[in-house]
Amino acid sequence: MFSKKERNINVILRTRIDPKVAAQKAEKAGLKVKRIFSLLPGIAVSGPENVVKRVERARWVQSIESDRTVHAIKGKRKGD
Amino acid sequence: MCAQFQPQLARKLERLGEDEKIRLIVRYKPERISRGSLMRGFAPIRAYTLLPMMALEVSGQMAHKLGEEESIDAVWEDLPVHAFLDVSAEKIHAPALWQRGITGAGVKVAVVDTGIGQGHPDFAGRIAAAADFTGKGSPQDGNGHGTHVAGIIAGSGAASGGIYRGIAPDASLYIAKVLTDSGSGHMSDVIAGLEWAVQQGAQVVNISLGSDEPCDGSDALATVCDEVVHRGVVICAAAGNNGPAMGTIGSPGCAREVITIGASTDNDQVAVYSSRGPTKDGRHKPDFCFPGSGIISARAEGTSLGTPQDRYYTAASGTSMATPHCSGSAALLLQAYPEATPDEIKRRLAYHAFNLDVPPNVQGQGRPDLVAAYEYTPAVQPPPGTGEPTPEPTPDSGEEKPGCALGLLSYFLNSLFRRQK
Repeated sequence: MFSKKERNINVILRTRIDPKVAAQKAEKAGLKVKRIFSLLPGIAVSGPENVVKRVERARWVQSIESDRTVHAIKGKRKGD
Repeated sequence: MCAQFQPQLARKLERLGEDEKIRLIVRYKPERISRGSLMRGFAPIRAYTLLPMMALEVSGQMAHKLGEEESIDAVWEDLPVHAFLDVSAEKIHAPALWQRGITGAGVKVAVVDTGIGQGHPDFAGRIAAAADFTGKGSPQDGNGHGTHVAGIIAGSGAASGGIYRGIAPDASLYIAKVLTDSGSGHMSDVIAGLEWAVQQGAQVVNISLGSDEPCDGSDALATVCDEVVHRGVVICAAAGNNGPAMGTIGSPGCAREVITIGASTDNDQVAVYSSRGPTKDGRHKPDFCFPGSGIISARAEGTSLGTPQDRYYTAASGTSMATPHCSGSAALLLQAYPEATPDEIKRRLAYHAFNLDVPPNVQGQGRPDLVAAYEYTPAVQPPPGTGEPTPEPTPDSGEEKPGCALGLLSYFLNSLFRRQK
């Protein structure tokens, strides 16, 4: 028997409550809190997809979105 | 006698594949052949008038045939040239403001990017604070992107005798390293860098990074950018290099309140690679275009971004390079007008911006002119009952051109109001 290992995902949770309190709840649920924001009521977390999905249904969570990859907009020679 | 190849070109042609393309400039013998007959075999990119010369793009095989052509006198490689920072600064008339003592002194500019080459002579005494949000433990730039960007904003040009001076060479730099040395990171790191910049009291934030996916301005990063602007901070964000397809602006370039920047060339044409609007929710973007092609600026030690020129400088292209021209411009305007809001800075930049003759979703409001932006008088609210406020600047160069009956009425009332003043 093999248990399927859940993949970890990075997400930004926008919260209906104080982000610091939200961070405690997220940790309690099994997520790793990466950042607590001050300009946005939200936190950045990572953790197994199934845990994130469970947290998404919590009343204190307003919305959830992928913590997307951004990159330096590298120079191009084309069209110089 | 056959055509003379420049020696360096002759060596390059020996290694060039038959199907590989190369750009050449040829000088032909006017007494031997007319230009028309030469053009039958080789399609020119440009034909010149001062000398019997033309520029061509040919395959390696055709290049060798050129060497056998008796009508041709000499052949050179059409080498790429780069806009020095002094050229692009001149393009937007930054030196005219420097001559008036406006150099960005006292203005805090944050660069949210890959960090900075801290030992570079052009940044001596310029870096007010720096922080790392990537876990590297240092804001040192191991990529080169952030250093190049910071040099365009506020490099002193010390290592080049002042040639590669930034647009606002006396501005103070606040460096947030949010991208790893590979040049990537997460939105959450960028948000953390923005929060730090606000805490530092930054008045301008440069964001030459973004996501590839088109967006509608509602994601977390775009939302935070809008909040930062509402707090009075100017944010200049790159449109991206995913042009010429339409609808290619990612986050945070799609944010409503940021000044989104596309890239233009030395010839005042929008660069092919510059991302185009509209945003996913149908708004016009970018807001402006600034020079971004072949810009020579600071090179971080040990990095190979772009085309290195020497130990201290490298040439790079992209909306990443155009955006710091806007941030530097904003710093100059904020030194001159410390109370100016982000909205006023945007309006100033729009005032008599040079019209690049392409749609708004390609050029925004055009390529700004800093002298016009400096001389712009913000709208004056007349006393109640005396008429409409002074019209806002138009995106076109030249005179204000009311476009409909209401505009004409407004124009007339404003003219009247101005005379009464």
